[in-house]
Amino acid sequence: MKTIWLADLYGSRRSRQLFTMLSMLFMVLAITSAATVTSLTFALCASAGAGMLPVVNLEAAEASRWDRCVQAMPCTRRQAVSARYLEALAVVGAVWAYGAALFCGKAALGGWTWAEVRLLTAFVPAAGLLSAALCLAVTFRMGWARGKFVFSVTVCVIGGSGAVTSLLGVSDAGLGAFAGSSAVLALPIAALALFIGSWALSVRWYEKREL
Amino acid sequence: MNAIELRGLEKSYEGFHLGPLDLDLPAGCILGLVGENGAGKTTTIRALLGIIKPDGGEASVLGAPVGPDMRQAKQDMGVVLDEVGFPAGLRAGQISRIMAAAYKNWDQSLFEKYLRDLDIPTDKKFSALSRGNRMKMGIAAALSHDAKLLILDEPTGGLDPVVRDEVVGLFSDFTRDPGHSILISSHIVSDLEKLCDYIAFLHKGRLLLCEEKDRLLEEYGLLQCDRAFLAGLAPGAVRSTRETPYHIEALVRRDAVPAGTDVRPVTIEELFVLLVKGDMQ
Repeated sequence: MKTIWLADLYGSRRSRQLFTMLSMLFMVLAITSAATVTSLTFALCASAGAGMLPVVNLEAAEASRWDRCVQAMPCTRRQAVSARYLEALAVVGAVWAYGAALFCGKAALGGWTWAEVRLLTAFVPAAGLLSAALCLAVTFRMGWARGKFVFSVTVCVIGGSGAVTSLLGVSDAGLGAFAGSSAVLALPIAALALFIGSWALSVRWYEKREL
Repeated sequence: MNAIELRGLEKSYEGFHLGPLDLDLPAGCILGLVGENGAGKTTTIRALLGIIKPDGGEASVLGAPVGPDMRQAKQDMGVVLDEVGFPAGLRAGQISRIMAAAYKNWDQSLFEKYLRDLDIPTDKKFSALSRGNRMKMGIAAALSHDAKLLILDEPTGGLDPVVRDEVVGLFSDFTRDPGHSILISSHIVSDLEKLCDYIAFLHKGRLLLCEEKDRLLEEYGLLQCDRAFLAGLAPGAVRSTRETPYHIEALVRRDAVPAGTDVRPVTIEELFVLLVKGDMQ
């Protein structure tokens, strides 16, 4: 597994820099926005976008035939899948930690209520885990040639999440009510469960796939 | 003990069927897989590595059955695939570090020595290397972790004759250790002729023959004659024929033609071409 991590680490320098920059930018936009809905939208963009980094690594591995080369080395397919899911966890965790620090800072300065912070810190990891779970599973199942369509749709959904929230009629008042409920804490737990389910399916699919 | 064993291996794709294939590579030997494009060489090698799943049959490598977890066996295998696939942005030093993470016996100084000997640029990204240099990088990596078995898919493709000779020399050195074995596929039959103990001919997914190289060269010869002479030979003496504007060229079993017949030695390349292109008897 360390082999795959190292290869992704060395090979993804540019995309890593780009994703880090975008995530930081979106988080800054999130805390500088006036409406909670807008903040949430930007925070989701930061997290869901970051969750796509392992998918980009997987695409690069397929393009360079590194995925096939790894299978000629002492690595199992389970390890190849698990490495990318752990990367997703690490990246989403980092974005969540960064976001949570910013949100707490703003709340401490009186800019936000703690209920809003709770809401945002629950949504951020959920969005990242869900985007990674969806795109990784599809790419492990069908390869990048088909996985890129799901990737593109997910990117479009993330990009258009502002429009989606307004279409769904999400308002600050509605979010406030949701933030106060215990359901908000169930959100990241449910996302983590889906993420684990996606990992199990990916292992199964990738072990059967011909490279 | 056999380093590789294939029993009834089969794999089908649309318009192509491999096998059933039975093949053994005795430990300490070099087996050359010869075949035209699409004969099934790469499919055989990928099936051996578990990259593709065979439709039928069994295979084992270094005593371990081919399956989802061959980590232990793969520690002792050096592999060069037809497309050496290191990540595009990596340089030699980074490749060495990722290989060190995969192989317990990775020898960085040996890898660096191969890089120097084979004149591979170490400052360039892998994607910026020529096809020949990528192949040399793959060969250097395969030879740098104390492997007992090398599995090489067209390793000399894209190399100039001088480097090819050098690489063939490296493979020869590798098999000086009696426990080391090589399975190598190549279009360049002259390389295999220099190197191999055993030769297996694949044609359209079928194994035409697999024998010791010296025995093949001893057993078969080329006979140039006319049709009448050919008709007079014992049944089974002629394996294949090819007509030229001047005469008939026949691949014959030396022991089945009358003494004193002028039978010319055959090269592995001629043998292969006659078996594939000639009229089989």
